[in-house]
Amino acid sequence: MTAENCHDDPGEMISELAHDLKTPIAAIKGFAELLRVRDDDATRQEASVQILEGATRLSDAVDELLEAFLVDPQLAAGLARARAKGARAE
Amino acid sequence: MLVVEDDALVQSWIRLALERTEFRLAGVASSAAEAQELVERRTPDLLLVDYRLPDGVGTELVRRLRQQGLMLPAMMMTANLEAGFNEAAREAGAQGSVLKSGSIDELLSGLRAVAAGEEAFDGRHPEPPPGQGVL
Repeated sequence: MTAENCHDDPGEMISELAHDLKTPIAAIKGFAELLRVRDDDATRQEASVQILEGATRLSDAVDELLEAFLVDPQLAAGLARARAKGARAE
Repeated sequence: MLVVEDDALVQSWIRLALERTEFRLAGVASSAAEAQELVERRTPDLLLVDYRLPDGVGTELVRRLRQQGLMLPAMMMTANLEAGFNEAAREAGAQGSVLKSGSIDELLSGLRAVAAGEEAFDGRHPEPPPGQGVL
């Protein structure tokens, strides 16, 4: 999903977004479960590295999503209002 | 078995999940083209195929393999619940489906059933709406 093609097909965009978010989430859950059921150092080492990798990918995917929405002026304005509201609440 | 999955994170998880089980990896393909080559070269006896591949959809890979007379059991894998997914997988020649949910038990029980010649489709995929074909 890119900012450029995000509005070509909103349905496809949402499907792709869901996939981009769910895949690292599933991997993080999977590695967490492996940590729960296995107690060897090799599993612990690999699982912890991959969980961090998955979290980084999720964060990057959210950044891409925000960038994609900023292409649309209305959505960008809405996002700015939401952020201002959040800043006031803090 | 051959795993067909282009996501490195998921590849790593599957590899680790299959360690210390009865499943031995014949290889991991990152595309349908690579999978085709590995199936021919390494003759695996089981396939785990991601639906979304960089060069096509996994169901089409399974369909092509069936047309070539390659009848090894195949399980489809996907991250999202999709109406009609099981029907599409079955119609293409796969014997099961599993969600990328992170559950080792779901992955292994599905693979064991399919390897034993049974069907094992994840019932969480909705059926296609009436009048709508498979994916």
